[in-house]
Amino acid sequence: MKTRFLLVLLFTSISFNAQELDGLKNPILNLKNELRIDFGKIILNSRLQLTYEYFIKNRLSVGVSAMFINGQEKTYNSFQGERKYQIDPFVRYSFSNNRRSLFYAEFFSSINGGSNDKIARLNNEKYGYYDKIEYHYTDVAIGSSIGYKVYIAHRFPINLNLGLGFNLFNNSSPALLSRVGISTGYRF
Amino acid sequence: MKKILNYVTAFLSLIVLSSCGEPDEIVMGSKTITIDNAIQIEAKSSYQLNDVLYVNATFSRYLQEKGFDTLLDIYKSTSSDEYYFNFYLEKKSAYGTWSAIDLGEKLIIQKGKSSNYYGNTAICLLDQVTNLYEFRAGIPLLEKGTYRLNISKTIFPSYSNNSYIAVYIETTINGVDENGRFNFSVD
Repeated sequence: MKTRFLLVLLFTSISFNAQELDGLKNPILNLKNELRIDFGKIILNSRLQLTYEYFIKNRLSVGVSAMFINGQEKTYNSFQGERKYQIDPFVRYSFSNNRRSLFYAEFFSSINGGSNDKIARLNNEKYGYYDKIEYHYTDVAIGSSIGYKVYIAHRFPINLNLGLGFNLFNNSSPALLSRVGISTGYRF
Repeated sequence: MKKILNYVTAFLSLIVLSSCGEPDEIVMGSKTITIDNAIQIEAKSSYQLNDVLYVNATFSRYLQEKGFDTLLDIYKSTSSDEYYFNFYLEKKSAYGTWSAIDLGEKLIIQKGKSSNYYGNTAICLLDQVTNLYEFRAGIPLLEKGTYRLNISKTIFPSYSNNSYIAVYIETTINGVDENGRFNFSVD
């Protein structure tokens, strides 16, 4: 038992030493927090999306993106309805050894809400007919994304990601949900 | 690295495919209703030169939809007072090949409208009094020979600005073979 405990301690200290050495080689590894803003969404369709990412280990990070949509903006489309907000917690894993330019994959969950048009069969006194009905919804989705990130001067990321999720619980919500972004920010 | 990216791509594709195809839902804003004999050919046992072959289409704006107790009002659903289907006539040559005949102005329209933008299009118009969509046209048979009349079994709504759904009508047609052709000869 003692031997096992000592072995665990030994490996832990080696692992910490390795991270410290990596940190010396790559100053970026010492910066654990990152804030980003999606400029693509602001320019293209008046949506504000902010992302916070925390780096747990060299390759692993967690974070959350929150997107709010200008109420005046009509963003309805037949596949995704008219989304009002989307909050996406995510876990991200980098495939690249290079810390300044990397490919990654992520799994995300998404709490999303808005309104969605669906075609429903209605009835008048005698006959049935189809018409468009607007439903308001809140739902939770899961999905995955892939992306690429590059750092300028160790602190300024440019991040591109592309992903797809699907809503799980609410029949009135759109089946699919996209997670697409071009963002930049600051790592500290 | 490449292998991992392949796995990620495969996983994303799986997500996309798994969310497709929900059989009982309305697909892309369309619905198909099946009815019998919405299109009728006034078939005769033999045709002589200068006879007229009539094609009729008659169906109500209120149709029985499978799974529902009430009849479906296709006009209220589509806002379309016109429904159309396509047909074309072919004649067999001495070489055994078939060639389409341009009916042009020869078509005798008695109810509805026609257009020959792509083949011949029969346009069934809604009569607001009888609540029937109707088309009736005669094809004058001006040459001897072996013919076949090809008629689409699907009748489509003409769209209007405020329609949210396309209700298609799938119908049977009397006298046609398994390929949907009415074969006849003119003596």
